[in-house]
Amino acid sequence: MEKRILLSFLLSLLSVFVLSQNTKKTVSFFIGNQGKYCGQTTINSNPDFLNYIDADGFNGDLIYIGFQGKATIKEKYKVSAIVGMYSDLAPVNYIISAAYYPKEKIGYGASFIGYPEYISDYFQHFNIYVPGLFPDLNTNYRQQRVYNYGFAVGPEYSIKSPKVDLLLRIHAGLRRESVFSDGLYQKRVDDNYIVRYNFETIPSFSPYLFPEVELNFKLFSKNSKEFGVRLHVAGEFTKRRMDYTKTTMEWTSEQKQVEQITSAKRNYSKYDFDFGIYYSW
Amino acid sequence: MKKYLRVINIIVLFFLFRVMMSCCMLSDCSCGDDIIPYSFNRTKIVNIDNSGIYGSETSSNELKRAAVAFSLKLSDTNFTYFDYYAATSRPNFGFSGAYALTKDCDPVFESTARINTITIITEQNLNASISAGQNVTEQFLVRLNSNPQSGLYETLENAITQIRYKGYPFVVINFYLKIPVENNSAQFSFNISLSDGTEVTATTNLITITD
Repeated sequence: MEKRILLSFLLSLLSVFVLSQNTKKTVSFFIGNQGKYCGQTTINSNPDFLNYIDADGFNGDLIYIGFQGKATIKEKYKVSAIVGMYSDLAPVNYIISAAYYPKEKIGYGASFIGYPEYISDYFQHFNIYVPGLFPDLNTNYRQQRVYNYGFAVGPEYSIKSPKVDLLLRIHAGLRRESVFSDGLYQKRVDDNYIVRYNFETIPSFSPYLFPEVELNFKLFSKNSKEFGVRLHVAGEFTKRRMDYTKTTMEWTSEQKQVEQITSAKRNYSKYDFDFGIYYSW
Repeated sequence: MKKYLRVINIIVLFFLFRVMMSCCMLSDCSCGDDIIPYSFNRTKIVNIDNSGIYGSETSSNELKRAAVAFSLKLSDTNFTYFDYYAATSRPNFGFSGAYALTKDCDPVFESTARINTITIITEQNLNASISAGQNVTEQFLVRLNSNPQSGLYETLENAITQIRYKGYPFVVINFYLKIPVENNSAQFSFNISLSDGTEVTATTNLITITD
């Protein structure tokens, strides 16, 4: 719901810019690839759910298609919205930015990123054979989606030439992910003993770096209308961890033992690389 | 001859009318709000083999030492085949053995009494500290259905407050012993005290304990 509100607001803002004078509007369509790297940590007695992020996507790196709408007003105000869709064609991948250019080439802006990621088969940790124990009474494949989002600010550099427009952006901000929770039952062999473990993550903000490069190569232009190809690269660099509470209930739910599990921070990076066409007027 | 034909026609029309009544064509065919009362006058205890992931009823009298479990069923002798009974209990002018409805109308039963308490006595020595004749109710946990993924066990006290007495004409409670039986055999008596002042009892078979 929040994504729809944000997108509607942005589309309205863009519409205002579209109708304004001295506004250059650009729309793009592209296809891209998203990859992630998430360092692994040592498995101890408790699972570290970040170890099960679907870093390579369901079938390798994630392919996406998307659209971008941009508007530049009087060469001083720039706003952009990128919406990407994976194979399910749901608009879940966002990069939204706005900037002010007090000088021709240098500006200051803010950006918002949002994207989902899968955590899959995250109870593998418990499937290590333990004699005399059924480690997981649910034999179904487990997969959940968590949503990452971040807000950053920073400087931008933009140059224009007759053939190429270049935008360099380096923002820094804070990011976090949505709550992830699940539980499992274990039972002893030849025994009535049963235990339930509930896990719920405790998301926290962590700083991240957001560099972005956009290149527009003009192929045709006439009367301030342009058509060309667009190249875009965006990255995210941070240190992440996924702390959680672990609730243990043996036999009945009346007696609960709650522990706070802190996992180790590890390097996390994501890149978006896409290529497409653009039209501006 | 014409008189005979007229009489036969009347008789045929009469029974045809009864058939149509059975099909609820001429009267209100709603399921109705009738609730059929039943009482707990029959008990049955079945052993549960809970050694694996999923417990299942078993006719064997051998149970694992730490997996002793039973299923207690309280029902009414009048409603052994309650689906058939409910279908034939619908009072109308139609044939009791025939019926057809535009939708399934499952009969709704409700017990006339509620379970106040259940006391479990061990008939055999369980271990060095629990001997025959002692109350071992606290050593059992219960489940109101047999699906292990439906949740953890409940205490008997909590489970009794969650029993649904409206629906089918029986109540099933599954009991699971928390402690291992150190003896080589086990047997338990269940005394069920009802809200109408009656008491019903059920005793398990003599169980052979295996490792």
